[in-house]
Amino acid sequence: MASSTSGSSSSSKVVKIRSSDNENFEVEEAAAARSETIKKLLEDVGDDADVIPLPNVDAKTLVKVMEWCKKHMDDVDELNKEEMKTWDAEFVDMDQSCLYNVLLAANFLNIKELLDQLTQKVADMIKGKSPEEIRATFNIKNDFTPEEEAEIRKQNAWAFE
Amino acid sequence: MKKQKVRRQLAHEKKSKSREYNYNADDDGISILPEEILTSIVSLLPLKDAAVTRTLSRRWRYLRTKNLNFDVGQQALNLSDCSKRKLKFKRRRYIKWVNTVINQYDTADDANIDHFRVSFDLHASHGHSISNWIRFAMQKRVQILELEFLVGGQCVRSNWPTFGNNDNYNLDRLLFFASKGGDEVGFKSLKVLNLVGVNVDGEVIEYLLSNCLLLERLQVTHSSKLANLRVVGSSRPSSLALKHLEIKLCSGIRTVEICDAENLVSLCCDRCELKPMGLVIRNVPMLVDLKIDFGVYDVHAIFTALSCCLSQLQTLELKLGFEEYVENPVYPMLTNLKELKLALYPHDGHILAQLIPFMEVSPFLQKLALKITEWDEDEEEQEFFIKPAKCSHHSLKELEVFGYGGRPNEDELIIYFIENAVSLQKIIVNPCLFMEFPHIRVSKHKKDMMEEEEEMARAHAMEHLKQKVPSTIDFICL
Repeated sequence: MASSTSGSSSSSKVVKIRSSDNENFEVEEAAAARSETIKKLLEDVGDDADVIPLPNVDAKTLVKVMEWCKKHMDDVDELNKEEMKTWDAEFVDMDQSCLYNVLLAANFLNIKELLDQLTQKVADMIKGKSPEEIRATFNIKNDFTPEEEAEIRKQNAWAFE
Repeated sequence: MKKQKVRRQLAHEKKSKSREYNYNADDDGISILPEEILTSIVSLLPLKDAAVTRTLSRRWRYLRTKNLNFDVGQQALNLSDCSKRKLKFKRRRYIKWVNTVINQYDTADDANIDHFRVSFDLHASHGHSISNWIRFAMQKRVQILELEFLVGGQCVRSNWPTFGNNDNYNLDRLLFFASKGGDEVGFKSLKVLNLVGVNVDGEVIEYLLSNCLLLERLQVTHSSKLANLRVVGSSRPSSLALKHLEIKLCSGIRTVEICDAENLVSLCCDRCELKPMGLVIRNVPMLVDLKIDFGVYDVHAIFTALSCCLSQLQTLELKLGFEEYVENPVYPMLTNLKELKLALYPHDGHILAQLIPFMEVSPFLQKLALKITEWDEDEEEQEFFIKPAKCSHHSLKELEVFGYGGRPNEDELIIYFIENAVSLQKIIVNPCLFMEFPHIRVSKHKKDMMEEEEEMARAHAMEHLKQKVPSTIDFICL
């Protein structure tokens, strides 16, 4: 029982996955199965699986995602919840391009909890800001014509009161 | 549309291949995310922030939040000091806000909403708008629907004659019948229904329960029309999805019948003054969490009414007091009970004697929470304290006294548990006065007095009680 957390026990099965840039990784099955997509693939191919190709995820992103999966491999008991929360907060604190890539990967790999944490992170970055501040934070180009912008502002005027 | 998607996809691939990828004018960082992710991000924002995002760029303009929570915040909701005219104006503005936002949704398209919540001082005369909102939400396959119509921003006691309950919005069951191309869409999505200050009767509830096959949580607060509530599953397997039922402040309620509710986990009947005779519970195999506030305090009658589920309960909350002192009553075993919450009256010298019979039938009780109800100022405090025979409690780990006032009775009670509960790890003393109707605003004078009393109780606990607690037990005074 206790060995399952150590990760080095011989009983834990290892699966091979390949990133879009052709790097191979060996991951414990319990960690990889946090991804519903991988889990389903594993169920479909059974034990004959050689390497699971993940054409949408590059190596750098995959390392990040698997780091999260490893940490979230086992159920967390009450005592470790706080510690996990801190770990998660540090995990999602990454640079923006990395954040979007991990988000896309979490979406593709169907890891709901990770997806929730990342979308919450982006939402927190938006909350309470003016449109100008949000555009600056996320490098969003205002592509409205002045007329369009006036109209859309008018429609949502209540939000600026 | 498709072209854009392909371009985005390509942009993404390009980006993942080359670290040196530079943002160009029509491809900003966050916009590589697909619409579904952006929509879920927008849905996590308060409505106001979600509206702000609509003004960012063309891409963001058409993202619709799935979370329509029309919340004005506690401060703005406190309308009890408003003049009639001002109140009228504020209501109009609130209604206009809700209408403006929902008008931005295309009723014909397939986009769903997850959560729809309105919370304001509205009543029957705003019925036209309210009905439209319900229709909209059901058409959009809402999962969580919350209608909270409070008076002056507060939940009032429904039997106060000064508040005209008959002003409550009356819920018509036909509103829930939303169809799209002959398909009853609303019924297939609703999971949570929370009604506050909405008049709903037993028939409407029964209709909803039998039609909304996913309805897991139902909360009804302050409905003056609810008299007879029937929650009855049919013979079909798991026909009743209901897991949580909460009825609060429905003073007109006479009977509650819950039968064959195979998924029901928690039941709360709070401040409804239901009589034990009016309650029928049968075949509720999953029920573990029960909170019932009866109008009478006869424990035997309560336990008789609950006899079919007592042994399976893990959490039980009851209100005691005013009953004649019965020496050593014997209750049925509560073999699975882990947490017991009791509301008690502090001027009653029998507190502990009332408590011990519960302890005796709950061998695995881990947490005991006592709520001391608001002090009766007119009542003389009773000096005597009936000490029960000593018995040890092996499982109890935590004792919480909510509404602690520093009275000798309470100290005796805490000391009793220090001496007799051998596994006790934690004592929480919370001097915050327990208000029977926490939603009702109190005058400034009374509030000051309450704060003063709380401070005195806190000081007493730290000075006199703390030193009697052994170091092996965590003592927390909030």
